[in-house]
Amino acid sequence: MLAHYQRLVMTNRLLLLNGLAVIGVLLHHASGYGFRAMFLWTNRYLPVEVPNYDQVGSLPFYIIVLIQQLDAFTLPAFMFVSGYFAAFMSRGSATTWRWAAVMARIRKLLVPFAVWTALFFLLLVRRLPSTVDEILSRYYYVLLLSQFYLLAPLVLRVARTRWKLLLFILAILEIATNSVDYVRAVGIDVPESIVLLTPKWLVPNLLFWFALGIVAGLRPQPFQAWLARHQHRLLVAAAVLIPVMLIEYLVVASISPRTWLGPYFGGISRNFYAAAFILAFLGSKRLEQPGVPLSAPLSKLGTRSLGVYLAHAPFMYVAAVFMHRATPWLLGQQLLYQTVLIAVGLAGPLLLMAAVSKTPTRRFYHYAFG
Amino acid sequence: MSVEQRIREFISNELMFHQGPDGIPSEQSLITSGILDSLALLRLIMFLQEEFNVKIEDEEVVPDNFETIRAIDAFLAKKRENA
Repeated sequence: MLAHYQRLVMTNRLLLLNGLAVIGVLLHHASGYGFRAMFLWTNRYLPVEVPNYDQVGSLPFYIIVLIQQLDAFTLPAFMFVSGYFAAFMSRGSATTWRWAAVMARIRKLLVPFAVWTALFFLLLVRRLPSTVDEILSRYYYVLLLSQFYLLAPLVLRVARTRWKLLLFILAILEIATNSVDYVRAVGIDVPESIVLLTPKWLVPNLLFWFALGIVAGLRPQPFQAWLARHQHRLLVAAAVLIPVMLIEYLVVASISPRTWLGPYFGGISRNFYAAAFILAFLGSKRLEQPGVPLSAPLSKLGTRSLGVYLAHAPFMYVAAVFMHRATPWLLGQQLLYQTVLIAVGLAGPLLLMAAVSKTPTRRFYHYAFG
Repeated sequence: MSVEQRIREFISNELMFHQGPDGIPSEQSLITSGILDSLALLRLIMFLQEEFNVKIEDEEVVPDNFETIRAIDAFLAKKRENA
């Protein structure tokens, strides 16, 4: 079994996973705008006052909830790929952590973060952010990744010797971080100090996935052998966890004093689903066979994931506002509305990246897209 | 065009965007200089596999093989020799 899996090239799978995660991010944010059209912009296509929550519990509502559960793997996938790369930097004869490389990487993350955050507030929303949290939450994935690279030497050291303990502790921390929102959703008061100490842009949020990528990257052959042994179990787990996530949502929604759980409710089971999905995907034998649907465009998309992640939000925002003003009837057609948002959110950044890379402005490419 | 030149051209055009084909010295570290990050590495591997028709195994994805343009060139030469 190991001999077969030694022939699988993990880098190609990571690219595919990254490409799929980009699609997941677009789906996730489009679904957020879906909720907005459903509850806050209802008066643009129905004779009601807003906010209006009549559509909570409707079929389109649950379809959006399902989409948000299914794309739970996206940020974990990005972090896993980055962790795998951090492991690459310390493989072979490389014995010391390369701070120069890390600082260069962080520069390539923080400059675009500042550019897109400023662009979003100053040009699109046209107001100054009211809190630091609002600034840092906009592209929190980028900030988290920068922190992870700074922590990487420590994570690598522990991952070499006590990787099981490391993953166990980080999994507990991951779930504990998620639990703050969860506990508040069911109506239990959480001290403000705890809420302030667990913003989504600060470690340990998502650190587990980065560490998992490091552990896998340090031991590529045992990792692939493990994937091969457990491939069917992982697939079954991912499939079973989909209804589990929905049931969890329904249970929390029934307990919660809120009218609905908000645009991006994250439960606990989505962590297990994300793990099962990522590992099942990376271990899939189907990816080894020729003719995997969309593998070429997904791989190419995977290589542009950071740029699309950074640039899609303004494009999607402009498209949503345009439809709100010019074609309000579209807001009531969720399928069409979200298809437009996803198409604009994908095509806009890709065209912009292509335009920048092929013109004299290409010297600024890294400042804009990482 | 030599293999080394082709690699240099790809890195210049596709990963760096602003340097001409002769912009990167053969011995400049692609990792320490920040040219090769996670996505750039994946793109480079994809390019090498397609352009030179080689299959790069996971255990070969180590800094020693991707540190510099010359190292990549030597790595490819060794692979083709073994093939």
